[in-house]
Amino acid sequence: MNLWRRLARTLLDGPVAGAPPPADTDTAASLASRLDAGGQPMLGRSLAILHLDAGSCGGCEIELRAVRRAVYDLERFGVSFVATPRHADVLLVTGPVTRNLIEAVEQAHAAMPEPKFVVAVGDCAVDGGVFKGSYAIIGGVGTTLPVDLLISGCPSTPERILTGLRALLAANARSRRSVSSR
Amino acid sequence: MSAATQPRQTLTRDAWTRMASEASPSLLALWADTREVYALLSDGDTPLLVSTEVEDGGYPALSPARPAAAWFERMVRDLWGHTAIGGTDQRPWLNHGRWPHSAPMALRPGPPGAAETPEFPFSEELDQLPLGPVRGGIEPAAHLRLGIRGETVMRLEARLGYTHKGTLALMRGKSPRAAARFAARLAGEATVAHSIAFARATEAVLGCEVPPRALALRDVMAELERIACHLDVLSAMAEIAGLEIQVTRTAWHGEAVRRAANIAFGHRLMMDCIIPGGVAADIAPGGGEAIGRALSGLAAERLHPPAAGMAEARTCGRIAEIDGSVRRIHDLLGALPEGAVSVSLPVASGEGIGFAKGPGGDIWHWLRLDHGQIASVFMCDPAWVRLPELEATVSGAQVDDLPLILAAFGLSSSGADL
Repeated sequence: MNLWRRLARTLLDGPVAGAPPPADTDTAASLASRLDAGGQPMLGRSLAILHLDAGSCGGCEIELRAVRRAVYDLERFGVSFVATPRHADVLLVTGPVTRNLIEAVEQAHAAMPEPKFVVAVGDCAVDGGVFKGSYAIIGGVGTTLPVDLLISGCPSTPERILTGLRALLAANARSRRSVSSR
Repeated sequence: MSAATQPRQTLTRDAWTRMASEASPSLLALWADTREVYALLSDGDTPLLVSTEVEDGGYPALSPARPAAAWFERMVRDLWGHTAIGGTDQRPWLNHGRWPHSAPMALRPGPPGAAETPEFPFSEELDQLPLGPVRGGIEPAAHLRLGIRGETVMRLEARLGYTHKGTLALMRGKSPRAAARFAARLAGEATVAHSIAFARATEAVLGCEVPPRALALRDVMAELERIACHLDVLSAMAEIAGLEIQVTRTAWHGEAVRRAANIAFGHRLMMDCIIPGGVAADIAPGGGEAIGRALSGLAAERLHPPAAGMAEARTCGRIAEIDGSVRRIHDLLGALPEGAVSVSLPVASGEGIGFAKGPGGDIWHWLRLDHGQIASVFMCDPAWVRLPELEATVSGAQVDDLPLILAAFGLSSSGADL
């Protein structure tokens, strides 16, 4: 009985994942032009992300985990998290980049194959956030690496993270089309 | 455990030395300012705060009798430059030799130290496996050094300090309302609990009476945070165990709780929603109903621990706490007192302690105000206790089981890195 009820509910309710948010077209256009201008080879329609905690309080990580799991379900767009910079297309940095972690951030970036993106998630990674002016941080990823995409918020909401990463995907796809039509 | 009502005892050097040589009462936290060293001791139900003057840059160490003091003593030396005389561990902790000064919180900060590779006192027979600080996945930055023999973890030692942001130094000289933003960002998974502990410490100094409606709303937020944090840990464990359906179910309920918190209090993590003197804003219209809907779904779900053994006991505790929190929120929202949600803070001097029970354990905040501004502050996160506990319990585990054990602990480093 219970089983039948559950089956019926599963069939009627539809998936848990929410409707995908639209990719921000302006951001996508500017990212695509950067890719084209660099003449970089395309990455295909998927992105592999390495998350790097550069001194985060853990708030952005809560929202990143939410983005990856049910409801936001990032992997349905072809975006996955990887465990090593050697497999990563995107370095996703959270936290204000503490002095104790600069070396790790730079080494991870250097170990990534070209082409590579750097995405700053959360106000801390964007410009140091509330920790601006501390002796222990350098204040934002942009002070040490070229940043392609800034996703603000304290912490960034899953919607914002998803919208930003979808813009990155769209830029990727557009760049691929323009390369293949040449 | 209630917040300290006993005033701080200033011990002479001899009295401190005597206290240091005994193992009881046990240590909750140890910190310093430019002149004194403070120890918060667990004395039955009320904690006991004692302090002693630092003489010639040193104080008698507590770590020979209380091993839990070792990390705190290393932190005190790295931040204020006071040496624990006779301490069991003199290695640096937060200071990795990359700051512009050593002892940045001392009256006269020293020259920068040299960046050195940390040493781990493992015996020669063990193979060493380094993990981190960049560990892949969505993990906090910490270095874990494993001493392994074959597939078995014989020892684990954590090296922290990577996420040190100089939070305590940033809070000095600010008003409690301005500094509350830093208390809320010490550890993201316990932002509400840290905000409550900080607010209570401030209110203990200023002697202000918080309106009953604000107290009830704080409790609602604290319980929502506890539920969301436990669900996050359950999802992470289920992910590692490969239980896809359970990942989806727990993640879905966790998301429902976060969304309800956003509707009711305007922020998914309820960051900055608690201020010294009350709460930042009243619960939004329809917020109580949104919370009720999220929790009724959760109450109907049967949660299971995704793993057996040590992780199971820990997880059963979390599931039981979720049940308790759901009931408590129901009771609180059913009888929410009317009235104001905050009071204005008087300008005063003095010191006080605040306590809160966070999702990961006990949280203590201490601060001293000088004419309404923070002269000195310390915030003790449960990570100070959890990580040494992890080090102690992990020996004998299989290397393959380590991710699950770490997930069950809900490892967080920012709280202890300050």
